[in-house]
Amino acid sequence: MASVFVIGFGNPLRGDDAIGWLAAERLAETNARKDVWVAVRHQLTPELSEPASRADLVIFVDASEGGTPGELVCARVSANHSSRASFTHDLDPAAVLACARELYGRSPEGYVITVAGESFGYEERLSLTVEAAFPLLLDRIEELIRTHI
Amino acid sequence: MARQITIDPVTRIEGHAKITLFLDDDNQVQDAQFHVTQFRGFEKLSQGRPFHEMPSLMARICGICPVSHLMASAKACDALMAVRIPETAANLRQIMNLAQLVQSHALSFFYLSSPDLLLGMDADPAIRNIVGVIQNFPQLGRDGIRLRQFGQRIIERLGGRRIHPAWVVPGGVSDPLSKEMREEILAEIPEVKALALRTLDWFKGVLGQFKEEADNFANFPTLFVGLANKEKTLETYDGWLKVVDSKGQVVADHVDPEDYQEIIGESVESFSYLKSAYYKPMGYPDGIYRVGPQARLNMVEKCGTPLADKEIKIFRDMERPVVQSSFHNHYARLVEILYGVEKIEQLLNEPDILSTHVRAFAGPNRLEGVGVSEAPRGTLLHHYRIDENGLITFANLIIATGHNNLAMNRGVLQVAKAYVSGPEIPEGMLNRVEAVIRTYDPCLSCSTHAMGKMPMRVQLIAADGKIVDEVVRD
Repeated sequence: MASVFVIGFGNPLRGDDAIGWLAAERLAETNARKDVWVAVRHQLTPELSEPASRADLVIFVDASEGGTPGELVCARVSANHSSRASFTHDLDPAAVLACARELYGRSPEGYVITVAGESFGYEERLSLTVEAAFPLLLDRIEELIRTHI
Repeated sequence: MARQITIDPVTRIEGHAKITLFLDDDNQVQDAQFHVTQFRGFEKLSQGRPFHEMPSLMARICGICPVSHLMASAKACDALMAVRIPETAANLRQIMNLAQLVQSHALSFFYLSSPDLLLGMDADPAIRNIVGVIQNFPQLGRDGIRLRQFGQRIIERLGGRRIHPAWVVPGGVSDPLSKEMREEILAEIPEVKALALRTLDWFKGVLGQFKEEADNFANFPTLFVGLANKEKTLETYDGWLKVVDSKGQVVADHVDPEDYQEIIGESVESFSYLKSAYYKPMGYPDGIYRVGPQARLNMVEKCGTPLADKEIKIFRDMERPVVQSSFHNHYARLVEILYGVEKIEQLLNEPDILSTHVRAFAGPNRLEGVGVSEAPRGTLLHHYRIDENGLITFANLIIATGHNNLAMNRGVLQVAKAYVSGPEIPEGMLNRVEAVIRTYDPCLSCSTHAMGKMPMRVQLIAADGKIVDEVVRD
């Protein structure tokens, strides 16, 4: 049985940056499947590579800057360390997958789903535009999960 | 012509800071300043809030050490309520505090500092990071991740979430420990204990390679401050304040945390938002002291757990009467990780650890309260005053990084004098000046704890404002 690891990340205190966090929270509340794990994080850290290595598919859910607000983009991501030099302990999705490969010998398939944000100010709510995209985001995550398990 | 060098920002620390080095006319380092450039204001913004909100509010100070602030804040609230919390609650709080120590030390050692130790101080910054460690030393990378995960999972299990758990409350904790949770944690102990020992064995084997750094990284006499107990073992949660000098002599002991102002003063410098704490009887700045792993181990001969007791002896035997160089904070962290794992095991085996009596209830009974605990980075002190309605009228927080501020400044000066000789910025200087700060693992109260892709810039500036040399890290 294939397994899926969904990681929603962002800052829930910074407006639309919360979209990934909220989507993962919603999925965690409603998900009853043992082969689908969900993590909600402020940022991606190396320790996520261990559970990622046990999954067949990792879905990263995040907000993005730029683009048309509310626009949803789903893209494949591959293991890659060179995509970003890290001066601290946070990684990007490609690096999480690369750490999974190098530390635990498995590199799962990866997707990054982003929703372009409109407002990243100090507030605990999504902009109307991004909120409207929330159901679409949940549908896209479910669709990816269904095609893999 | 007097000149100055600025390192802005300092990377791989928790928060935002910069360093300025001042050169004399002969291009020799004359002075150094460690500037904390962020302003938080938690002492002010908490005024007017009900005291029982303080643990949750104070935990928001930081995303790395919320548990530490929870502990000190809850203890200060216990004092305001004038309650002695149930023993099981105190033991459960200790377990969470130790889990915080393990995960934070693992973050500091493996993620932030091991790149310097494993890949070399002079390695390209683009590879001298946690990713570089994982690529080149995967076993150490796995061990670091597992140790951090162990601590984080305990916090998550007990508190319901790994960051900002609301489980530690005034009067104790909100929920008891379940038998299942206890067994789950105990089942992980043998593995993480072995990992802690393996890392210690490796580090002791390579320690000799860092003699130059140990000689120059804040290697000078100061006082050491920390919590102490009647067993004379490592104390991280309770007890009293103790001060030891550079000769290992006790200069203050049995100081009730409520009387901290008798021995600790705070001074403000115009170049930093971080206050400088000092030992009051010696005045400012002569009363320089250090807190944290190195200080804690310098104050005891035994940790109080079997394996850590053997390791502290080896650590202390490096240099008697006290270990002077702050470089050895790295080593001390590894000893404390081992201690933390063992002590968690001891506490989980306490006969009453599953008791459901874990909270004392009371309203405000005193108008002033002080809470002290040992955070991973050192002694953490919360001092509150309330009005008759239980609303906060005064809050004073002295965090470990504030205790260490004078020592960090002097440490930067020492390492800069050793490695910088203007007018050009020598290769490797930039990171060594930063690395001495990292030995203290300063937490500048950054709630997001992300420095991300920030560049670093070192400028050599002439007195007329002209840049005569510059190093930029993109």
